[in-house]
Amino acid sequence: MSNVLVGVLGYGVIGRRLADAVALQPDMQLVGIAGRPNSFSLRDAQWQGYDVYVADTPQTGDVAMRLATVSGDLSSLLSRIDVLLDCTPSGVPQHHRKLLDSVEHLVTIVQGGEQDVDCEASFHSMTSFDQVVGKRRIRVISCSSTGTTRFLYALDRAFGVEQAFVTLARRAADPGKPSKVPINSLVPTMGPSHHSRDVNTVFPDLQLVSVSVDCPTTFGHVIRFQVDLQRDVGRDQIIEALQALPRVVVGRGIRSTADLAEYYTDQGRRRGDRPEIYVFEDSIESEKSTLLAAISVHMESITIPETIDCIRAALNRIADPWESIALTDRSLGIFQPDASYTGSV
Amino acid sequence: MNIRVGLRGSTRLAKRLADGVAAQSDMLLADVAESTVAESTEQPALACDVLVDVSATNIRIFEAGDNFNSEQQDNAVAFTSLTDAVKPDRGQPLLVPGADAVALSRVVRALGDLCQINRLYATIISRGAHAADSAESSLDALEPVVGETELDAQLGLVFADVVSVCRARRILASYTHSHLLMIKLDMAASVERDAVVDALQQDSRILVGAAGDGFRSTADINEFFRDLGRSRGDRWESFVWDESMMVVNRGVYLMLDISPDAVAIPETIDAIRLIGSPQLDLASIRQLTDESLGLLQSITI
Repeated sequence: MSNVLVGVLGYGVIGRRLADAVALQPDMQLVGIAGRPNSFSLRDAQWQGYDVYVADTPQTGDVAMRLATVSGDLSSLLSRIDVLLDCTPSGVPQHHRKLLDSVEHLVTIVQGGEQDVDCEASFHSMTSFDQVVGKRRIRVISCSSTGTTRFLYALDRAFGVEQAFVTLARRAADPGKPSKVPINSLVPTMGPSHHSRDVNTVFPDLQLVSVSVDCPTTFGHVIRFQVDLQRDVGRDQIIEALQALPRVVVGRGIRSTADLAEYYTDQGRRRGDRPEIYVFEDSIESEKSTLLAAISVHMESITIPETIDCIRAALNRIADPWESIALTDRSLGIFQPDASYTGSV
Repeated sequence: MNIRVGLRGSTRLAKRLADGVAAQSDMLLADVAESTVAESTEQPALACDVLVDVSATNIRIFEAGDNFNSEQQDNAVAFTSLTDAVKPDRGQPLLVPGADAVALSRVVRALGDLCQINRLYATIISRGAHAADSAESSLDALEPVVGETELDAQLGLVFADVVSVCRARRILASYTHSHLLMIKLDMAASVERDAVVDALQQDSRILVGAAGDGFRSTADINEFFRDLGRSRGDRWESFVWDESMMVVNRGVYLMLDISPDAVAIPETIDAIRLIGSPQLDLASIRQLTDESLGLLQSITI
């Protein structure tokens, strides 16, 4: 079977990580990167050795006009690929919708900032892998929703979840972006945050309410959970259930998101990425059937493995989600579930 | 006759309490000393009727003339908005807990009138440091706090007979102003959202404000109170975002913001008056405190 031919539109925080991830997959080939002709991200992509395409007509002085080689426009990229990973900022994917829909058999995967109603299906590797086969426009749920789904899925499959109260302290901006909030302020989202609804698009029967506050920090989100399980469970059983799930790390000795960022940078991860959720083991408390715990989610990289799985699921290249998860995780060097876990990362 | 109040401590809380006492027409600030009650087992030399010991995490209020020692302090009676009609025994101090417990007690008092509250869970996004402090945490970090034994003990003391399960867990943020609490209350019966809003609006120490009215962030709230002309821009009231209040099944959800340096001042002044003017009932005591401090009753436009 030939490799899946993949293109990336938008070479920002997510796009550049996905490009690298696709390039590492044994069953995929990265054809090229498309971006705005006035964006320096095209230069960055070319420096990585990727072929670049322009999403609009270049104007005099645009970055694209200064590059040694441009492989073509967006249409020409689309004609060469099976799957487009649309990583443009929220709202932008709709601008290209007509063009993308006109390309026969093209599968487009967008990120969580897009509305689920604009897509045929939403995706999470562990809960909706078989729901996207044959779909042409699929949305991978947002970063916090992806992390929340992993955490609650681990608990649900082991013990059953009655309900969850999910409180998010979110980073206000990515490290390379201007802050969206004042530098010394907390900005709450009014009403339920989008995360509970987002999780329910891939995990429909789960009862949860989420609330969210943006904080002046950049390294990652911290999410605290209060979960009512369907039976009394001990703390050790909870740790075991979490540790058994791929893409979940339970650890001690790390106090904060800053410590986490430092640790993963030291591991040699490119850009310090952490596509695993990190569960602060010392935060786990159980009281009969109620659980309290805190996790951290790295918003820049957590959806990368799910997006890679989504490519295989949409094209029906692999039917078993756990086979795809294992393949993705091996190629990306994601920490593996560890039965001999000793409490340190 | 005025209540002569002796104040021990020199923290931010103590400074604000001194201002609060000075604003009361029936109190006189007798003295301010930096030593703590715990250091003395003898009767304090201050010429006062009520002695207030302000520590980093709580406030203890004693009737002057008693002998104080650590054993007696352990017998302290919690005093919050939930307190109905406590008359402490002689030598038994009142304890006003930390800011988070004070804020939660106001919410429980207001909503407990609607129906029994079975459980309360809160995540507190807590400032990493006050602006005048050296931060011990990173300038760019979120830190979930583990091992909340002191907070658990305070909540246990305050809510023991009121809410069977009360858990609050903090996340320290690289931020200096306030504590923002995300709260869930499991009610014994269904309640209407309008009833929740009304109950909180009617509480004299809770302000319900709207993001849509300009209070989008804690910075907006902070700026509003600085503009009021209060000393240091203090905010004694709890601020609840109108749009944050939700009712899902029997769960009530809301978000609340407090100034950790100022929010416990009204309850502390109440406690001083309870000891110093035993003839007054609690409703009158609270009303006097609110009027003297000038607590806002509404910020709705």
